[in-house]
Amino acid sequence: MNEEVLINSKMGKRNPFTVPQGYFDQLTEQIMKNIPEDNIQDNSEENIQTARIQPMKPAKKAIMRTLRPLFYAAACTCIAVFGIAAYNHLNKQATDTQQLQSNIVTVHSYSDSYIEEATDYAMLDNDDIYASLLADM
Amino acid sequence: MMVRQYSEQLYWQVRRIVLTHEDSNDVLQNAFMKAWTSLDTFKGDSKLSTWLSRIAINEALDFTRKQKNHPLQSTDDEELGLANQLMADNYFDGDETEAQLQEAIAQLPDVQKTVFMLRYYDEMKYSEISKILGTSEGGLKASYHIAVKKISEFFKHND
Repeated sequence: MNEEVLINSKMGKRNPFTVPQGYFDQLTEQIMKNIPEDNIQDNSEENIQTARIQPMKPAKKAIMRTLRPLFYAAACTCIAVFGIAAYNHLNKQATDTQQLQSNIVTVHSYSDSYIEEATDYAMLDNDDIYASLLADM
Repeated sequence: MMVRQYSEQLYWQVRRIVLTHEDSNDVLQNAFMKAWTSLDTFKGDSKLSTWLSRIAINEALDFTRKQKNHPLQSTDDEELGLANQLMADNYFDGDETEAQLQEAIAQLPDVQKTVFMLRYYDEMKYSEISKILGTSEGGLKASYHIAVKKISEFFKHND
């Protein structure tokens, strides 16, 4: 490129800027002074690479993502167990009610026959009693 | 340490944009602060040096934009011209031609200015510059070509 050659021939690539003496020796310290202490850590490139491999927030997300099916499975199991327990409980209640009802029916039938017999007996008049006594003799 | 390893390289990248030592020092401090606070956003899809360069250069360009919008220098300084201001700067060791080159570079749009400095002075590859500026290599080549043309025209006019 002709223009680039022209610029290069006019002034080369020399850096015309300078800094105060010893500036770069103190620069690191000066920068570190301005960084809040809780942020200061060993930020060497190696450590940053390691931190990148195991980042805190993404790791939490990854754990949640891995555990999500387990949470769903646990929730389904809980619902199933609760459902079965509720069904058994209701079924048992229904059986007890049925049994109680049949007992009541038995008591009822027993009571009815007894009452009928008692009523029949009560309805006997004197003639019937004499006839019965004579028949036994 | 990250600061010790990259501070000098970043300083020069900032200095070529900002031009004065005091401002470059402030911009570099801010750039490192930003890098520290957003270290967890560094994804590792580029080199750490590239990521830091992006932060520092953006910070430097922001600074120059703000300076253009709200110039702190006096009117006398403005009339003096950038080349003359540089010649009066204790931390500028160049001659008049070099000061004029810096003035010519400072007048370029941001991308042209940055790509010229990274390519011309640091001899950085276009692929690397592309990662820093987030611009395609083709676009950068075009920008560099335009920048070189403008600077050479600036010299021709001042000869």
